[in-house]
Amino acid sequence: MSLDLLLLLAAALFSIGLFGALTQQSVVMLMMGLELMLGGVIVGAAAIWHFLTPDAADGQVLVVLAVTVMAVEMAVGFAVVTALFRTREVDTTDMAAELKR
Amino acid sequence: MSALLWALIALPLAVGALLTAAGRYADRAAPAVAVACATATLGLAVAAALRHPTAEAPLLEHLPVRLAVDGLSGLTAVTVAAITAAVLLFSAGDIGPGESRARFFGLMLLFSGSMLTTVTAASLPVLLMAWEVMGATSWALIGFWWRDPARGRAANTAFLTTRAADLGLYLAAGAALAGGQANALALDGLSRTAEPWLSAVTAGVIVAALGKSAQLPFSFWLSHAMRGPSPVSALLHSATMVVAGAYLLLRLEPLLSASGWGGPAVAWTGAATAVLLGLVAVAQADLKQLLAASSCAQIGFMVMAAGTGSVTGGTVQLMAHAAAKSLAFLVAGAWLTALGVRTLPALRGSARRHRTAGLSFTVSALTLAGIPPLSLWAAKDLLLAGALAESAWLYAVGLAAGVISAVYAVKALWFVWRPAPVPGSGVPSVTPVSGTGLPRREPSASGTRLPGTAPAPGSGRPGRPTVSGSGPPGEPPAPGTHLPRMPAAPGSRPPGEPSASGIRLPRVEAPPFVLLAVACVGLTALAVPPARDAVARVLGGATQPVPVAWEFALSGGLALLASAIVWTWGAPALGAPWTDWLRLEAAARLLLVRPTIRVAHALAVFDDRVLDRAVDGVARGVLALARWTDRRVETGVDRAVEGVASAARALGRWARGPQSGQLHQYLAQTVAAFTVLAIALVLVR
Repeated sequence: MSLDLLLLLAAALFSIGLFGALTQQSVVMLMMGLELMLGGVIVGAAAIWHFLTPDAADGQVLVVLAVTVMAVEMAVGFAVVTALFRTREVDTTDMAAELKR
Repeated sequence: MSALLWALIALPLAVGALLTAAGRYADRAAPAVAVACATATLGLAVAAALRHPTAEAPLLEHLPVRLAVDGLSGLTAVTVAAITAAVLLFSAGDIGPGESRARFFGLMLLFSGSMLTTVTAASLPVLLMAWEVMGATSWALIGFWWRDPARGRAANTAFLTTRAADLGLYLAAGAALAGGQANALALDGLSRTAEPWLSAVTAGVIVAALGKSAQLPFSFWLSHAMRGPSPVSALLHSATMVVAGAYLLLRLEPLLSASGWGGPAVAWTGAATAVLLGLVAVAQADLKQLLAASSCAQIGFMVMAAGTGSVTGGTVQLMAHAAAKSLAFLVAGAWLTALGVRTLPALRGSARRHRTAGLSFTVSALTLAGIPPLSLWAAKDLLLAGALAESAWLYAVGLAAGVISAVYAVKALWFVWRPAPVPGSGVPSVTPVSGTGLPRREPSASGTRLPGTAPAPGSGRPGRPTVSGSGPPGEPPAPGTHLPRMPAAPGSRPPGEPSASGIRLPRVEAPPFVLLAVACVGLTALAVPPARDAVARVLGGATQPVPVAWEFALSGGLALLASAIVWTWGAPALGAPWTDWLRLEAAARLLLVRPTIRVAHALAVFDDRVLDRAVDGVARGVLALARWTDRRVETGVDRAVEGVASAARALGRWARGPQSGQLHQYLAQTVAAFTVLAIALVLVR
């Protein structure tokens, strides 16, 4: 396992996530893309911390923060999607173009 | 020197203007003031004639007011002033205290003052001004009794006729200016105008002069002018207005001869007027109409003299005729006022009743008749000598006109000297005969009867014969022949009721009669060579033909013969065209007035139907066009604008489409764009 491989994995994850975020219309799928991008960021950040500054705890803090943010975001995102679907039976971004009413 | 000349014209004009402006406040003083002013003017005129002053005042640039007195204008000015004084003296008795005397005497002074200005004017602008004032005052004087509509109409006819002819003088002035030599408007320089304009100047002057002098085509206005007061007629016919035309022609004799055609044209017009209007005078049954027609005829002689260049004869004729004709008119006016009648048959015996007036009238009538050795006989021969030098035919016509003048003068004389018909006796009575205007008479005890008249069945009232007075042509015979006086007017002389014993003429009227009669006789001296040569010397100019003895004898003999025939057998009766003045007025109405009114009417119709409608039509068209524009064009523009707007809106909607905020759509758009770019890149490579 080397830093290169891990960065490659992080880039791949981020790119796949970006692609998903850009191309998907389903809100769920879009959020999955976002998760993948965050996952890529977390992998990249963890790998850089592990290989470059293993003594300092800064990287761990960043990772933990990112994971927390991801969890909160997931919770909020799913709540919004669920509310949307309940009121308007909508699950794609196209149909939810107007948030009013 | 020039102060004398200024005073000569300023005195009558100023006093006349003051009197006219003062109106009725000055009525009491007016006759005395006017007679005094006229006498003073006479003195000034004599002084001016002796000293030949000139005067000049600036008027326009290069066009000064120039007045000058030379031989001709000196003699004429003296004549004008003398006749004015005599006529005003007569008027003091004739125009009664009830009339608006200040207006009358003021206007008379203005009238003679403007004539004096005309006579002394040396350049056209002054002449034109005086000429116009004379026309205006003659209008006011003829229509002096303006409450009578017929008199107002008569004044208007006279004014319009002379005024129309006056336009000739303006034409002459314009042509003289166009001729363009230095000091073009001086009267003595008119004959030097260059040719195309010379004829225009001559024609204009001739037309204006013929109009003022009532020569042939214009004669009819003089018949209407008889409706004015008698003193006006006396002044108008003898020394002013009517003579002004003849004077102008005599003054501009060089112009007539310079133009070549002007002299003969004027001479023949004068000769024709002398003959034809003389016959008109013979035909008249109304004394004033007879005298009016005779004025035309006698002034025809002066015009003829101007045409043939015998200025001396014309001037002597002018002076002698002024004295004789004013005297005749004054006597006729006195009879008219005293007896209330104006027709010749009604005037029978009037000369016997008023001896002074009768004798004065006899003197003037014999002078008019040209009986030797009275002045008009010699004057006529002087100017006929010039005519003989020109053409024998002209001489013959002039001689015939002289014979005719003897006929009408003696005709008038015959009537006034007949004994008046006595009521109830078998003496001739007069019956109205319509149409001829000449009364037919039954054969009288004296055996005289007019040739060519049949005895009419005895009708008509004796005493006051009623005669259908042949008034001026174109008007109904005046109702009765009385002068309609104002109610309060008569004063000392109640009109009407002329009893057989006669009415005394006012005392103040006798002196002018005597003075003028003496003048008539005194002017006879002009027939004798020394006085005649003196006049010719005063007038100066070229030497003119002098009649030889047989001419004097021939004309005098003819006049005596004609007078004797008329006295014995009566004057010839002349028919319709002569009694109503050759129907000149009808002709003028037919040829000028009616076409003018027709044209005016047609133009008015054209105005109403064409111009008015065109304007209305344009307005309607514009309105219709506006409505059409509103409907068609405006809606089109509206639609286009709305189309643009909706297209812009559609474009906006269309452009808003891609901007959905949907990331995946942006990606798709970007991919598509890059794909196109890539393909383009590949293909272009």
